[in-house]
Amino acid sequence: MKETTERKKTKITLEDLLQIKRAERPSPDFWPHFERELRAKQLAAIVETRPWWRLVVARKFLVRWCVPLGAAAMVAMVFGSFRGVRVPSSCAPIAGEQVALPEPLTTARAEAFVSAVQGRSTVVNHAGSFESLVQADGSASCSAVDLAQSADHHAVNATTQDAELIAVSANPVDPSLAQVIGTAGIEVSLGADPVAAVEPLNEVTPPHDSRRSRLLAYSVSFDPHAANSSDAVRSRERITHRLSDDSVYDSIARLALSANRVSIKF
Amino acid sequence: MDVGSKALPKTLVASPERQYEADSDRMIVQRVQAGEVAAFDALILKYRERVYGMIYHMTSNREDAADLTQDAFIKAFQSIHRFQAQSSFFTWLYRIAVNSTLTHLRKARLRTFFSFEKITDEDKTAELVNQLTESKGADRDLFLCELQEKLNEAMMKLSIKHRTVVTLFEIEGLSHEEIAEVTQCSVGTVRSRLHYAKQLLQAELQRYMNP
Repeated sequence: MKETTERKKTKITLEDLLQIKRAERPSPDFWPHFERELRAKQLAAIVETRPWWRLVVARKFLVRWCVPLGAAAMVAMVFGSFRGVRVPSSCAPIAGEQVALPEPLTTARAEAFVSAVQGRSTVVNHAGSFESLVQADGSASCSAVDLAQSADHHAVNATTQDAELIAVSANPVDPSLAQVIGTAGIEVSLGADPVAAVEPLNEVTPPHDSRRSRLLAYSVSFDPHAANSSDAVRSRERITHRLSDDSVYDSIARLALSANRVSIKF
Repeated sequence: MDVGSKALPKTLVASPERQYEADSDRMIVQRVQAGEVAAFDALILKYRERVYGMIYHMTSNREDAADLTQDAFIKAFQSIHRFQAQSSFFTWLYRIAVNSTLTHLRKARLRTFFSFEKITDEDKTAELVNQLTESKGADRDLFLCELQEKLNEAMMKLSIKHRTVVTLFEIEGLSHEEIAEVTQCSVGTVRSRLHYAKQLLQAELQRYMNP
């Protein structure tokens, strides 16, 4: 310090000037504020921060891609589950009823079936008029049951053939078979190529169409050898007027046919 | 204790005082690494003014210097577990502070705002200022302001690398070896940069030096 006081008119060097810069210092009240800010930053640094790449992924990927991907996954699941419910075309696609053909239906068997139906119609005549049976309970199912119970082996065979008739009427059949069945006056719904895959929902027709036609096929009494077929037409018309759609549908719903038996639900 | 006001001796190699300082720091660091987090406060109190002064002389902005000093200590605290005592804690901390400041200066290259600290009226400085004032015949306070502004302008005209070595050697009093360790370059590079920076500063501050 004595040296500095004795220092007079000496050269001022660059180092001396830089000493002046060294004398630049903050005021004493600067450091408490500095410590408070440092503590706050230390506490903020303790909080774990996500890496930058995760922020990018979260913002861009999740927002942009996850929602569409999730929606696509949901749609794929829905379609996958929907396709799994598909019913094979070989089974009888009757809503609420599934009657499997015991064996493939050929032309010979169709002819046998026709003859059985003819025999059944005889049984119907013997059991009483069909009209009385229908009017008694208002449903055609009883007529079918009565046929099954009161008939002889012809009726039993007819029941078996009934199952085939249901399958035939519901399934697409060969045109040759359709011609054989058609000569007996039985309504048969021809479908498309049986080999082709058909959606079961598309084959379902309104109850009042297919079920009524099948019931009429059961109930109509006809004789192919009769010269006049107007009786069959009149009977069919009479039945059509008397039967309502609900009763027809209800009768079909109650009636269940298997290979060799008929069950009815009350 | 105002550590910053104590002018460290300028030596080419590390002095015994520095060696003693390094040993004491190593013990504190070991305590912090063992889990005694509060021991790090002792290191903050010991080096905060020197780190702040270095960063201020490199940036000539007190607000930026305060933020960068805080960031340097936080980075040092977060990476204290990686300190392996291969160098002294002092040089390791300075290296963190210098790198943070260099990154800041590169980002804010086009933005130069001066925010000066007051020049403390120390004995050495006061004598020198009086001498300069008398020689120029100017008002002391006005002359001091002018001189401070001129000094900082001359420093900011240097490149970042040259400004760093001038600050560490002439103002902070580090040795050439210590500067080489902080800036991660050779001692010869430190010397050449220091020589070139002094030539530029002399050209800028010629009118304030006696012929």
